[in-house]
Amino acid sequence: MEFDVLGLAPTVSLLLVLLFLVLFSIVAGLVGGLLGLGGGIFIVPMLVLVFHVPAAVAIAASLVAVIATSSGAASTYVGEGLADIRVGMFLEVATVVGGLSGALVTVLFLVQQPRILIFAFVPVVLLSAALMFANRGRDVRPHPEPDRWADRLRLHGSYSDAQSGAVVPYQVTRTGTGLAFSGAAGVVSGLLGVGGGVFYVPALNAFMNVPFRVAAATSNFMIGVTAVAGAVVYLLAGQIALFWTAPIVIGMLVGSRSAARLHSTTSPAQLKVVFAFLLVFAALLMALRGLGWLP
Amino acid sequence: MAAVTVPVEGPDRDRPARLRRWVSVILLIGVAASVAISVVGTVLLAVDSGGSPSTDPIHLSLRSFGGDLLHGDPYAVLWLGLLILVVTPLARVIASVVSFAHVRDGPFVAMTLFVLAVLLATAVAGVVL
Repeated sequence: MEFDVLGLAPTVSLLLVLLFLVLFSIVAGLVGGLLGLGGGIFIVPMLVLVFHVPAAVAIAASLVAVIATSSGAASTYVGEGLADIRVGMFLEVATVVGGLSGALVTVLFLVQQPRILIFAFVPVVLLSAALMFANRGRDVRPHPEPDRWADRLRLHGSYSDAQSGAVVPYQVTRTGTGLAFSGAAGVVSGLLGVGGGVFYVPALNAFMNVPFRVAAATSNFMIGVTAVAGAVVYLLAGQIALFWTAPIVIGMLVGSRSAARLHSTTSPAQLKVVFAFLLVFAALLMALRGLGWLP
Repeated sequence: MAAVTVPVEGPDRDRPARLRRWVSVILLIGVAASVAISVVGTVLLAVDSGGSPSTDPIHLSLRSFGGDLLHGDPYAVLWLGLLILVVTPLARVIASVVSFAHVRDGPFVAMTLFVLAVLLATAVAGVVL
């Protein structure tokens, strides 16, 4: 495909397109890495709205990008002990099953129906915006109801707060709700090319009583595996367009590594509010396109 | 209400410091290799394509992959970077199995093996379809 940016020569236009993809992905990876959302939620609308990439191809690119964000940020979060490997592995059991189902449904039935994919995206984005906003001011309850599975599997933990230096313990609860949300996250991930972080962070923080910083880091750790389940299906179905994936992967990695270094200097409450508004904006753009009011 | 005393330990339950280090290093090596190769591939693509690269989905041809790679075909180089990226989370799941087995944590060995099995089943399903 020959690009034409403002009437410039094709080679110059191509370089500008690549530059835009890398820069956009750095920002998406930074925000995604800070909030435990892979950033795929930005990549799909960008590819569809700016470059008119078919929805299935955009979703495949986004899943690959989510693996990059996850691995890039999780390397640091795991090393620091901020990502809870035990809780993450526990929830991944439900997630991988959901991810497999979601990707199969998409490849088998929905590739011919791009408009359905676009409409499915809108409620998910709005729901995640509402959860982010409603959840902005609270972190954990000191004495949650006891949970048998959390005790038996020793899921309770603690983390060292980067700002105060204090070791903060937390009691995990509602493991059943956590598993249900993770299964749903897997399905949505395979269907829509997002990492599922939109569900993991609220499930971990609001339901399972894991502190927001640990929830975001653990979500980052988990979404890589969720995205792999989906990405492999798209890869084998021949939906990977390398031209779009490569610069996005490069940008996402740079962004997510920066997020892992910056996370201790940010206020999650403010980020959550800003992010909720960004999500509503993305949902609006997707809806307008689905209705045919935007190209 | 009966007080439930649950030992609240750090993330260092069952000596997972070693697991953490492994997982962290595996992820870092995977992403570093993937991004370095992707940068090379993208540069080759920009230079080779004469300003008009293919933006369509491209099938991975395993038969010609090795040869294309040696000839510096941009798409083969980009495939290599992408495959390393996809394999990275799998490698850390395998490292987790080994590490949980090492500390004899039965339930977690079983859970991690299950995750690995479903990921492999996903690949098989993709091939069959």
